[in-house]
Amino acid sequence: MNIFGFIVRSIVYYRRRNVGLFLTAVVSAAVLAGALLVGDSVRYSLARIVDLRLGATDVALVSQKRFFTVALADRISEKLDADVAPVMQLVGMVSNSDSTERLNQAQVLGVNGRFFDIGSAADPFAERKEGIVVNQQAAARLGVKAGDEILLRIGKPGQMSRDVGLVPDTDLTVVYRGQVIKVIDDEGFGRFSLRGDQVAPFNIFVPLNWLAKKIDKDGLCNTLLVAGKGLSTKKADAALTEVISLNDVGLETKAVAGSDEIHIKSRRVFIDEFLSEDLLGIKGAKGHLTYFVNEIRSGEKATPYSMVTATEMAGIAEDEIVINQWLAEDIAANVGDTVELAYYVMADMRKLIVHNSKFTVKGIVAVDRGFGERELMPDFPGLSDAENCRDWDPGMPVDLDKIRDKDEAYWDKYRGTPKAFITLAAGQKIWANRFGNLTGARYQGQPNLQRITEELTARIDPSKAGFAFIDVRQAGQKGVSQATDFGQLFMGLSMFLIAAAMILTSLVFGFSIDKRSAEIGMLKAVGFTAGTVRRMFLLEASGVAFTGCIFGAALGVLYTKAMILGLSTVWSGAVSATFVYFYGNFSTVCIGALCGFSVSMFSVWLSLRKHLRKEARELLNMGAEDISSLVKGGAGKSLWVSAAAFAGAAAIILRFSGSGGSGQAGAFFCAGALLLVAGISLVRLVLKGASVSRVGSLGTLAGFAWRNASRRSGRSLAVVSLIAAGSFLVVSIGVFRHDPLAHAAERDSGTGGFALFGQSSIPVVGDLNDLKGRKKIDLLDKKFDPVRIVQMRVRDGDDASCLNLNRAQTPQVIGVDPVKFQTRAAFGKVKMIKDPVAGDVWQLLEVDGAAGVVNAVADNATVIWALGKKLGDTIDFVDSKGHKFKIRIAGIMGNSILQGSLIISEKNFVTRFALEDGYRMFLVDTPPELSGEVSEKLAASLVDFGIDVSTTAGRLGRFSEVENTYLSIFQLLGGLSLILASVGLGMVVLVNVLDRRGELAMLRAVGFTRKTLTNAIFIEHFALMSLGLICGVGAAIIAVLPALTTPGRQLGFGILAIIIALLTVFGILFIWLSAFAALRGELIDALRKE
Amino acid sequence: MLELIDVVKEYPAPGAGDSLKVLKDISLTVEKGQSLAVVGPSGSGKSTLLNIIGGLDRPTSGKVIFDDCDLSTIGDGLLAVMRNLKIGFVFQLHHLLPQLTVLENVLIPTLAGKMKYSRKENAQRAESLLDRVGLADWMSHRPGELSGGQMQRVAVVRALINAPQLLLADEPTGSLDKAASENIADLLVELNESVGVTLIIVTHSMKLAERMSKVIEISDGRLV
Repeated sequence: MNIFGFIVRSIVYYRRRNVGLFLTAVVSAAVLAGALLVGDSVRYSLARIVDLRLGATDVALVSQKRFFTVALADRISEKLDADVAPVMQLVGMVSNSDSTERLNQAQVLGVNGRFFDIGSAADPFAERKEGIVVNQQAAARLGVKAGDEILLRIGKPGQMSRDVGLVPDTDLTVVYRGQVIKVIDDEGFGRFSLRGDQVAPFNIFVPLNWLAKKIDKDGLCNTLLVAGKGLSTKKADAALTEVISLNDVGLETKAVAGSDEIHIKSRRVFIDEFLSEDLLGIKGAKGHLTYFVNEIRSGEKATPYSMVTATEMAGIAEDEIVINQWLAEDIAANVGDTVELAYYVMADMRKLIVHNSKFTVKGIVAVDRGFGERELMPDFPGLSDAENCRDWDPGMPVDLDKIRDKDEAYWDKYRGTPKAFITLAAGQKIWANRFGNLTGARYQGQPNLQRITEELTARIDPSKAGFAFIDVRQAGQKGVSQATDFGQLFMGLSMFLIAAAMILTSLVFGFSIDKRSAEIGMLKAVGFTAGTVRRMFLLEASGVAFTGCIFGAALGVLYTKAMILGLSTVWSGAVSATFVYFYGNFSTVCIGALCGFSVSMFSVWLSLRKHLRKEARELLNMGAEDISSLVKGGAGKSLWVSAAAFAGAAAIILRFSGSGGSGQAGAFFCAGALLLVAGISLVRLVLKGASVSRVGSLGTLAGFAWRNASRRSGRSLAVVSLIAAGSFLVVSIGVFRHDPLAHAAERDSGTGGFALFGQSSIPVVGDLNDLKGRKKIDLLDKKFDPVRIVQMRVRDGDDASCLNLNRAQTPQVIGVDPVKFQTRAAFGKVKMIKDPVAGDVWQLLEVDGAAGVVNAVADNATVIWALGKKLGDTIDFVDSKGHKFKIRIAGIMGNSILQGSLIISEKNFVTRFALEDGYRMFLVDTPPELSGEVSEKLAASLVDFGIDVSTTAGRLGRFSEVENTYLSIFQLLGGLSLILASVGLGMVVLVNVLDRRGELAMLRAVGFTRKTLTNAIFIEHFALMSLGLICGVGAAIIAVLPALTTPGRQLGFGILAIIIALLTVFGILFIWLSAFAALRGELIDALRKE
Repeated sequence: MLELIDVVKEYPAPGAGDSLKVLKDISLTVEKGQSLAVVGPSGSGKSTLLNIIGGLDRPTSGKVIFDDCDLSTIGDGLLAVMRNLKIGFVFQLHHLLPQLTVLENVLIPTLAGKMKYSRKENAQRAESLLDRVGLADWMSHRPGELSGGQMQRVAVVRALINAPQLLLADEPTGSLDKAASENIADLLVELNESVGVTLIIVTHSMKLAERMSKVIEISDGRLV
């Protein structure tokens, strides 16, 4: 025989006694392996979703507001030797044929076969070149199948921003009723999305060419998907710079008929500043800016609605003007006369302000001087394509009654030929805007067309147009790798279950060691060192624990499936209803088992350490009673610990009382935890005190029972601690539940005091609070006077809310007028960075940080959890002109309905994201009684904008649901732990009674009835359970005091009452069962054996 | 071989009371091969004295010189080696391990550390010793199948497996009937004489004590 053989013999012989250790090892390993497997499964699911939504796409060029040619895809494909798919990505609204089901946030994708090649899927349009294909999510939402008709409303991109009051705010969508030819699933590339989140989009696929024609963008697209091995954005950007054409940045070249000039103009009316610089950089370039003026007046005479061109002219000062013959005659102006121009300049929300400028007539020229004057007018929407003046439909107010026959005649003959010319410098001063400072440029010498085109093309920096490839795959993978770690989360949520298993392991192994004290004593007596004995027992325990962990790991797989089932059903809020695939990684199972094994062995080691401290002679005599442990004390230490913990708790409570906020909640939680420690130490002190009592306290059955409780104070204290800590956690954590409805009307709540939240697919332009706006949304009735709408601009990005399980890389940005929040004191106190100027965070939004850093506010969940940032951190962005800039988190507010976005000032927004037009997010202030009616009116009047209106409380509730679900899981697992604790209590009863069978037999012999003994045992252990509950619940009540007085928080008394009642019932049940089991049979026999 | 010089053992009293003096200035010399009985009333300190001699306990003051080594000052590791190789213990309760056979129980001390003999020699010695105490047919049995006297004989053999110089027995017959007690007493005396092992027995039995070459009495912690 060797030591190993000895250990094997011991394992086999004490197999029944080792069942406890085996079972607790099973629980530890199952819980740990389960938690890790849940983490793996969620991570695997997110990674799988990245593959499903991207197909083989590695990098992508996304430009929602600028359109480039489909041919660019071919050129890049050739250059990079990679698969490139041109795509048109637009937003849309879809409804089924009878409009009973509607989808407002659909992604309309114009695609061709190359798109499905990248998705490694069959092209559903291969046989039919028209029709609509929907993904399974959209089909399910709409309740449609192949063959059904649906109504598709597609957001039509404007020629230029609709924020410009010069263009019409009509013609926002195109409508198409078509047949669904196929429903495609995730494997069929139906889940395609470039957004870095796990939420399945509602995709509507149509042929690219068809869609481009439908929205007047024939031959254009706004997205390129590139799939190529080893492809980097740097390489792709370099290829783009090489192959980009003028047409791709919206420029068109044309030989001017009847002259030797080349004319360049933009599809977008105004030419961006960066392109202007390139255009004017060519030798001989002559830029011009043609503007629509309301009136040209000289004295009493005036000409309505004319084009005036600002261009480079020699010998003319900035305050001088050249007019054409027709105009000179119409207003009877001569050289030297003063001419006044009245024109609109653009203000916020499509507002137009009339400005006037005076010029002195420098000269009078012919209407048509043969250099293509007619071409100087850009393609103003609603004007340039009108056959006659009365058909004009520009965005600005035009009084058609002012148009005279002679004006009509001029239009018929000369169209938009400018009637006057000023210098370019003068024109740019009064008409340049954020969309550009030229409407065209001219070059001499038509034979040079190719050379000029090439020279210009070479000058174009695509990044300035915001054209830059994004490594969507890497971003997706990064988002997954930095995603919420559900493994750690579940590990944290299972923390108490694991702790309970540890304490139980320690207890059951302690029971076993107690029984084998004499064996340890004998081994030490015959020369085994404490280290050798420890190793032998550890090895023996490791054999049992290892076996338990193997079973536990296997059970962990089932536990994981149960958790995943929970996440798919009752806890779906925790994963935003994402389908979680089970992913059983063998190494994870092994790690879980190993962790469970370590936890068990640590508990065993703790238990052994205590026993091996005893001398051999003590151990050899332990069958009688470990009297030394009763008299050795430790009471003094308990007293100090208890006093210190009480003092600490009192200090915290005094310091933080009335301070409010989350700091107070945290402080009180700490105070509660300290009180828990104080309570448990006090119980230890009392148990020690009872154990050395010499007189009194034994006069009653209760006194006798209490004295018994103090005999094995370690066991008793373990039970008290287990129950106290469990009930503390379950009760105190419950208070962190949010009730969004409790405080929703307050301005300082997460709703900002707003009643309704709206989000549209198509941007709404103009002010909804002015007369025109109110008319638009049907709120003209006087009773709606108190209703106010705060409109916000949106720049799409990753959802940085808790609903996105991935780490958001480029979050959505909201632009708002900060005064709207400041005057309302909305969203309460906001933690902000120190600033010498700004008084509050809303002012801070208007202040630019150093080096053009833009200040932003976001809510706590967005910053901390979704972005993994802190106050003062910055996030990189690229503006619409291709400039990189940083958004700094200058303020963090409490969790709010604006979760998921960075909020910047509208001023900064329009500067940085000039191409994002209109407003897509709305907060509505309305009296509660009108809330329903206002909601209906908004939904009905803005139906074509695809608006979804919901209550702010409901929206906040959806965000709170995630956190509340975590708390539910924690409470459930905490409840399970408490049941485990009550099992532990039962085991303690059983072992205590079995240990004392001899003395109980003696008591029977001297006349105690079995009932009296059972009562004594019950009182002893019920007292321990009650002490645990009193310590735990008492400390928890202190911990949650501030929360109880905070609106929006609730204690969830119902759940807590159920948990405590269950624990009490289970506790009582296990005490009775154990006492009954231990006291059955003839106790007197035990006396005889003694 | 063994010399105790002014050995005192005190235990702290509960609370702030005076400490309890269990042994008071015990001085004693035991020669090699001698047999010694320690007698005295219950609570007089006999077992404490034996524990101190055997290195299971340490004196509060005084010296315990065994084999030229002061057991009161050496480290725990060395003390364990001394107990393993040079001292054998027989307890009132045999403390046999129920999971092992008789032979394996005897071999337990050989697993403690450095072996005095080879594995094979240990097995042969164990079998020979068991044969000598009349348990040759019980070697593969478990302790549960043995009588009280047989179990105590196994405990004696276990104490002798490493051929100790000193055999300590604490009430070895205390839990046995008369016949078994006599049997154990015969065995211990015979071993003392034939093997030459020094024997110290703590006992209440004057009959057993008288069979030793020397008898000392302890009363109230002092040698009488």
